[in-house]
Amino acid sequence: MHTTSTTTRRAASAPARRIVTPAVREHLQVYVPLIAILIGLCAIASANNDAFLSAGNIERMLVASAVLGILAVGQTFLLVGGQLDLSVGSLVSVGSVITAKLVLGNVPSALVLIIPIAVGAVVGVLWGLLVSLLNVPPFILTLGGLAVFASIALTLADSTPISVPDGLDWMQGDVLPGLRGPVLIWLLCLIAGGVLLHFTRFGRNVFALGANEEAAFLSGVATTRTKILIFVMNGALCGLASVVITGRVSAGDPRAGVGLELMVIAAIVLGGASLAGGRGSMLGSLLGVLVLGVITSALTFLNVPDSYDQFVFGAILIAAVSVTAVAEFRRRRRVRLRA
Amino acid sequence: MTATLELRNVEKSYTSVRALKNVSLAAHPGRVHALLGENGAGKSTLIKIASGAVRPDSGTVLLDGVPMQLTPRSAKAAGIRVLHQERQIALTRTVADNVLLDGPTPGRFGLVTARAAAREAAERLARVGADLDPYAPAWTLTVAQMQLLELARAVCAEAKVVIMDEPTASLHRAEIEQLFRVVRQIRDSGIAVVYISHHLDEVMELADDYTVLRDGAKVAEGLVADVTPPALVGHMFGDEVSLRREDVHEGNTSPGDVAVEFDDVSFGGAVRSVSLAARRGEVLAVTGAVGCGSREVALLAAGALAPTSGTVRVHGGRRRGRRAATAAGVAFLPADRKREGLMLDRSIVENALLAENGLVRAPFYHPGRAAGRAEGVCRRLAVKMADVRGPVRALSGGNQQKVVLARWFEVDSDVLILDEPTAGVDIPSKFEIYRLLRQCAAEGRAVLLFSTEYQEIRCVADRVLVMRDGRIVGEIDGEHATEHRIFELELGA
Repeated sequence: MHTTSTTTRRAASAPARRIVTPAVREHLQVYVPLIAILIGLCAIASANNDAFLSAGNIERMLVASAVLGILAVGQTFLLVGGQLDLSVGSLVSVGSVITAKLVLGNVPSALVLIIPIAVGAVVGVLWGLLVSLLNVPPFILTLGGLAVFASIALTLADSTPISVPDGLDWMQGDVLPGLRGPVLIWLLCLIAGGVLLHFTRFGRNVFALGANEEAAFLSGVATTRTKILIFVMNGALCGLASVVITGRVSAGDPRAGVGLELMVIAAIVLGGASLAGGRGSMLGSLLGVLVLGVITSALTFLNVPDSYDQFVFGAILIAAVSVTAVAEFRRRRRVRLRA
Repeated sequence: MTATLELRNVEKSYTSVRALKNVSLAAHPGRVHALLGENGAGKSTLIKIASGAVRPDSGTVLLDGVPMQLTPRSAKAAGIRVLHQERQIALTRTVADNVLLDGPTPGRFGLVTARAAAREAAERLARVGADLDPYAPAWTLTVAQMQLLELARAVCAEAKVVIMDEPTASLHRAEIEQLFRVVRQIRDSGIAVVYISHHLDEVMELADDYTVLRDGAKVAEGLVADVTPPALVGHMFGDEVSLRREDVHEGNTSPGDVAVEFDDVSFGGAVRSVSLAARRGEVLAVTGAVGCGSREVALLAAGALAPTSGTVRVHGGRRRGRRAATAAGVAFLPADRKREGLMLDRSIVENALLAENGLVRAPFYHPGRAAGRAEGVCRRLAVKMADVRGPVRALSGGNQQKVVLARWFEVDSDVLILDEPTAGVDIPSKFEIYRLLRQCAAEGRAVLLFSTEYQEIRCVADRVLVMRDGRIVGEIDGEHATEHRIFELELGA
């Protein structure tokens, strides 16, 4: 029985092999299941409630996912480069409080956008320098940052959200017809990030850094510079995300980013990246973010109590990683047998 | 007498290389069995099979005459102990922890106290004549002391076979003497010793039996008492060597400008006052026993290490760091292809264009054109592949090595620094790589070949520098670089 199914699958995929290159096939192996999950979730949810796929709800889902999506762009560079930043959640909280204070201080709106981004970038420089010059594992380092920034955010805001009634209005309405502010920013980050990661020398260097840092260094790739730059980019995107979240909820919340770091990493790993580095794609990360966003909304539509949210996220992550690991094991064995 | 460890008609193939062809070997109790052969002759595969790390494709492994299916665990339980060439020492732990790495004997209630462990470790150290403080951290030991520590770990009550892979590499003469005393002691206690070495004088002094492997096949065996060193060399390198200097050298090239120059360069204790000049149009080989400092010289020349004193110049200028050296046209092919050379999970394209990634300033990357360039350069080096966008992992060792070389041809490097370029490479690919190196020299590139394969050196090199203890101890003209001449210089005879 098992043998039969294998044979049929081989036979079916044989003619396609010439058109679909190995790299494309590797990507499809990640994208197709994610797209299937998305379609499945939408089908179940809209069968239960027609409003799920209404324009309004789709827009709500996208707006709700924008912060996670922006963070995922930066973190994808880090994971592909074999790095990691766990401090992003707390950094967003700090950024959100800073943004709120800037708005209330009547600072010009350009600076309201630029200052949080600059703060994030400075933190990124710090991580980049510490990780590459001291050769400290980013996991522990940024875990420390997660705790420190959480505390800074609470101190800055006296532990209570700072209400921002107006000043970030453009974040709530449509900037272009049918396109809300947060979604537009997300889209721009996504396109720029995708081009940078997949179609520039810099992006190739990020892949090389994550795939084999030693080989990249010996081949003359600027590994240290690349490493610092991806931390800086990630930090700057955290700053941007904190402006978006402040505008969306009309408040500088010192707990705005709690738990976001794990959600981001979960989304990117769902999208086919490996914590060991050298693997991942912008499109995959986008699909990962969308899956998490759709699950959140679908659970609400299906009247599942909030307490189950975490369970569903966790279960999907475990399942996805297990499936990828099995596929990877099979792929390697096939490569070895064919050679 | 039954052999303690016997391998019978063992075969093993890797992706495209037949590592072992129908090899048999028997190690008897109370005897030292020397296993000889060049790099890549199949010695390490044989050890891996004997220690259960690798399963043979066919053939049997017998322990005391009983056929066994070995796994690392069962091999250990059966009393097979291996001292690997790379020391298996946890540097941050104590001597006692390292001796008892396999687990100390538990005391009352199954608990282990530090004191009891130290006592047990001290006893086992005493058995191999090593007077070491069990509480000392392992990083304070000398290389020779680490060697004894590993022996103390190996020699325990249940040990029956001890396999030693190049144990004297980077040991001094006096330390070698002490090691030999311990090996004889172990042998006399009835343990079978398998001793792997390049050094024929050691084999003549220590071993009772010998087996010679060449290209994965057994070419000779017998009693050491019945054989002479020249005969062993003949077996190791073959009388009718398929690769001859004449096959590779096509006419003489005339050396041009100095491309890489070392002026009184030292690096820690590993490289001491080395001066050398590699010219365009020549292949300069640097050789020496493991730990002689040649690897560090390679990294210094490539700019990956900075000298502690002295200057390294490339084309007359000092280049700081690996990137500056790359920009000056210095290619580097590292010895450990999998760890330092390739991105195994990435495609051939990405691996072949890795140096270009570091060098080219044009910001954008066009995947289609990149594949075209990679395909072109891989064609030039005759890489056998199904699809240039396929994973580099699927290629054979020889073709993988050509991909690493290809990345430097792609950026047109004019100084090639190669560390063991044919390690784990099949014979036809070796031959192609040798021709390629000669062709590079003929085109006016400078080639620095760091190698411990004598045959390779003799085939390719114009000049040979021999290193010992971090110094250059002699220079030989390529044509006269016989194994014997190099051996003599390496050993300081």
